[in-house]
Amino acid sequence: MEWDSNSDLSGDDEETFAFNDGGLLPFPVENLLQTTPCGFVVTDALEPDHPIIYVNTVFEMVTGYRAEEVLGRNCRFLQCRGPFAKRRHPLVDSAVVSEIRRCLDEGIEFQGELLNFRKDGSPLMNRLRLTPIYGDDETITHVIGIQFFTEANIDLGPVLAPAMKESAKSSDKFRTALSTLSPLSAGDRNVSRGVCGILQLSDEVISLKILSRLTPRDIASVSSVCRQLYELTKNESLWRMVCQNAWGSETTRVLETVPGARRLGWVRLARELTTLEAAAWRKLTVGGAVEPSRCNFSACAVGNRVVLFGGEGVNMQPMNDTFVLDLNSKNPEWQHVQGLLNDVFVLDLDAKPPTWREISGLAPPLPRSWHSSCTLDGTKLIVSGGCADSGVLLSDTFLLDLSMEKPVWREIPVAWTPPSRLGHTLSVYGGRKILMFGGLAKSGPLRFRSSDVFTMDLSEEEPCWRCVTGSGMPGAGNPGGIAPPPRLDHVAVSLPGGRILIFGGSVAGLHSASQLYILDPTEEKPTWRILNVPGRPPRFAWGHSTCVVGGTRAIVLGGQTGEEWMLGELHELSLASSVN
Amino acid sequence: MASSSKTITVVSSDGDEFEMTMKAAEQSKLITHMLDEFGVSDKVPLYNVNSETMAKVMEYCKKHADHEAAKEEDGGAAIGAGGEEELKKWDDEFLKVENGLLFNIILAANYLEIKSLLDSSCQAVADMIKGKTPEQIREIFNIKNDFTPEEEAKLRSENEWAFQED
Repeated sequence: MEWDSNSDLSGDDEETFAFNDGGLLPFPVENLLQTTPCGFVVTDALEPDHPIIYVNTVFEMVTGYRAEEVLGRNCRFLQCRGPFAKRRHPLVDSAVVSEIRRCLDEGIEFQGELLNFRKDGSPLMNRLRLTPIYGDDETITHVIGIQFFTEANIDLGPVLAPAMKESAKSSDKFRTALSTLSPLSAGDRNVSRGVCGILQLSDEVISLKILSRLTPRDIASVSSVCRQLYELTKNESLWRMVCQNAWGSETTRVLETVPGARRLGWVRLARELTTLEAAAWRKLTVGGAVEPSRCNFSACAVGNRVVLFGGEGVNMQPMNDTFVLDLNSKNPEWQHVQGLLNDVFVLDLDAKPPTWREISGLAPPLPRSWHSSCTLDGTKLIVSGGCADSGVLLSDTFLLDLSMEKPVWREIPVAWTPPSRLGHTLSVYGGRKILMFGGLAKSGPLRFRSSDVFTMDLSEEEPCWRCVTGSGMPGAGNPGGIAPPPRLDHVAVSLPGGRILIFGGSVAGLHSASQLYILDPTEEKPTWRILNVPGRPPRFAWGHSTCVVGGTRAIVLGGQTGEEWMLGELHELSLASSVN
Repeated sequence: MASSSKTITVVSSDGDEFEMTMKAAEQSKLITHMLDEFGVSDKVPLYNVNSETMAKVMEYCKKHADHEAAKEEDGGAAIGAGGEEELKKWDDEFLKVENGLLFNIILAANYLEIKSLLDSSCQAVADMIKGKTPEQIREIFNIKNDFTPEEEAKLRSENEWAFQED
């Protein structure tokens, strides 16, 4: 059957077919259709290997392949069992396939029956009719295929139903999470022609197995690649996994409990905690009273509660009481908890009322003050340096494992220690690494304010102190960039992702102590950077204490500025937008 | 219940048959589950794994089954201290194939529920993406850029934060 190229296309029988992308097929074809529903395929005979340019909905429904999956491919994929097979299935009659080849080469019509397979692998008999369409100059421009499908009576073994149902279920869950996004229009789908590209992996595998292993920066890169990947990178579950991989499960868990952070969503949270673009100072007024007033107390955060302990009052009178502030409550106020002095105490905040438990650690280190301490994993207390009663500066490092039945102080043996010092800070980053900064350090018979940085990796078998250098000078402990002016008694905050934020303290000369400095010790060449943040910072001198609440806020308490200590007013450096 | 000397036959979508020991088959949760439910008598059709991919998966399962057997045998002496590292090196070499095959391996590992293979093959793909610009990613994975120029400009500003130094 041939179509006369000059035939009048405006005849009675004219019916135009729209292609899947909206273009029109410019010749009447309804005569070719039988009365029963048939699959209808048009291929481009001028392109190599006759790619499909149109399939109808019957084709889609019967074969299970959607139009966008098959456009651009040769029809022979139907002879493969399922979308992953690469070769024609052995039960397909090769004689029929050769006959099809012969008819197409000779430009004549083919009629015959061929075994095909649906997308799910089940067999179909395809009663096929192929008709070449001639263009202006007697060359074949298109081939039209009409398929009359029936069930095939072949037993090919069981299709594995159980596991497939399972993976469909988890796919469904994932789809539901994605359904809040705007749907991808079919025509935009990036389909590689018959070759398995990364985009032919399921959304679930791409997101949860591949993208989840990337850093936020890489995900941002991926989101700019194509539309499908852009949509995938907007998924909250994916970002939660990315945040967890980048910051650790402890931090992510804490962040989840903060209502403001939850409302912000992981996508936004990841961005803000990476760029610190929403960091701002805020002043909070809280109720209750910390009396008697004091400085040089210690403060730490447990979840969203701040615990303040000890300190020195007027006339350097030591204090031993404890106050707790719950920042999650609508009207936070200080609550007094009766306490004891000496050794190590753990405050059980969930007991009613909150009570101290003494931890008698065996072999405690030399008594000292102005030392630095930090907690690792929430269970190990690390104490380093400080000033002994005799006035001697110390440089040792001790670890107390509070998770043991009978906690024992253990000195961490090292071949070399940084110069001994007091008033420095110890911060935890990257899980089990600690960073020491600043302090008043011994240098021969003298003591100088320091801005040196030293790190130690406690996950190593034999931990040792390392200088963090930006300069090539041996023994130099300075990263590159603009280093903060040397100081002691400052504040160091560990941010999610391993960076350390420094501010406050006693700084020599006319330098401002309220400038924020930030350092990433995990970089190849750690470099100090200045962080400019709107809002009014607290006025710094010394004696401040700080802690990080809920992963997104650094609270600065108290401090001696020459004025009366106002512990009813806290300054907060918030790192992410507060959603109130 | 099945002894380690027994074998089963799996059939790829191309119709080829592959024999694997029970121990190797146990690397795949799907096959294990199937065998528990349906028994071992028939050949197991895995219609959505083609022969090329199946051959690689067989290789992986055999290697990991042998490694496990060696560990069990004399408490790990056969493998030695560096055994796990050696296996990891073998995995890395094993996955140095062209992208199309690698993605098919991911699909097969996902379908057959071979967790270790899925993790390492997905990590291999993630490693290819790390530190690359969008254009580089498109080139590696042969992906067409289907954004309009306006959309691309908008994306660039949206994603600027990820590429700035803090």
